[in-house]
Amino acid sequence: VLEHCVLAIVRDEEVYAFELVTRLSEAGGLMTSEGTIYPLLARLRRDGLVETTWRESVTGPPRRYYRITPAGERALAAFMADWTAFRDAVDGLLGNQGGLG
Amino acid sequence: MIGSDLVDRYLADLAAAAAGLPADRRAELLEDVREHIASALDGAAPDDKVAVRNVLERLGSPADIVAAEWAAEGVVKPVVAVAGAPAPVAAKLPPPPSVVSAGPPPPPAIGPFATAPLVPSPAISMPAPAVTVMNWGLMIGIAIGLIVSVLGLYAVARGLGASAWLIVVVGGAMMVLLGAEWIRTGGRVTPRQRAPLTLESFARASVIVLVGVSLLGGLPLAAIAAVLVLALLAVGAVVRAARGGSTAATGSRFSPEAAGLAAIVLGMAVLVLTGHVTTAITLTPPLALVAVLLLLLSAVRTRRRG
Repeated sequence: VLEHCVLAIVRDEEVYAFELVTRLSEAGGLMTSEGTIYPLLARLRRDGLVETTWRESVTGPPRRYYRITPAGERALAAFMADWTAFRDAVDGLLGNQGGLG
Repeated sequence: MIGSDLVDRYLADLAAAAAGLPADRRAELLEDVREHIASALDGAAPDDKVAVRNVLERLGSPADIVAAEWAAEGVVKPVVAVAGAPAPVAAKLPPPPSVVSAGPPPPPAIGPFATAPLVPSPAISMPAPAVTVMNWGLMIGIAIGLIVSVLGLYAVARGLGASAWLIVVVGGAMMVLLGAEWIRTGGRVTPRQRAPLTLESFARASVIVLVGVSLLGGLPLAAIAAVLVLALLAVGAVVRAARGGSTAATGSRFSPEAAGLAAIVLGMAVLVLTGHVTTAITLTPPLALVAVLLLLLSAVRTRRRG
């Protein structure tokens, strides 16, 4: 789930790692520890789902910015279809249970 | 700010926990986390320890980050950390009993330890072909020590902490030990007695080959190789001591027993200090057996000398 949330964040704009972590944290409940995002980002890079560029920063050293690749967009689209079907199925069951209870 | 004690300690712990990762990935992970901390503390007072603690707490423990790295490398099934959700079963499986697949591979530092038995003893007779290999082994060992030291210094410069210094010490010790032996023997080990190929000389030749293998990337094999070679060395020496005479030390400052024991102790220390506790525990029984054999041999030799 988390990796697709990352793909969704970098779909529309380039984002650097700390900003990405901040947004995920603000969404709430997605991460238990912020440090584990870096292994995940490395894997997404290796799998070709995101690409990176280095840019100068006004406050410190250069930053690595992430953006989605065409392969990442396809993976995200597939996940969104699966997730919607999954969510609807769960919502349906929970709704029925609520009605019965 | 980034240089505060807490941050330095955290990064050192992370470097140690990540010792088994590929070098480029390890350096990248450290750089990512260092940059994260700097960004998170941007604007905080330099002595604001509460802010530092909060940032480090949110980052999670170095062990968790490295575990996620191994999961991402495919060592275990990828774990998606979702608060409130039960952890996937794969993340809770105990490590497999196999030495090769038990956790991260041993660090490169283990390889040079297998060269400890290369320190020669004039008390040991060797056939001429083995002596030739031995002499080349000294030169190769010194070169490897130099390379390991330089790599260690590079790692220190990249801020990889205690493990990097350990590599420097190992490389330096190799150069000093083997260099001293080179000077003592004038670069040539003289066979005192022509003898058929023994287990000892076979073990010494094997060390040279196995060290090459371990340093070329088969790092998990290095620890196993060290055990096998040391076992061969010990068994050969014990057998010869039992036959009598030929292993009686005469004026030697080094002995195969001492070199073997040093290799075991240093190898285990490196494994533990670099976080490869599982591998160290797995290797303990065979290494303990070899150590007992070596101590037994030492006692036999001392008695014969007396």
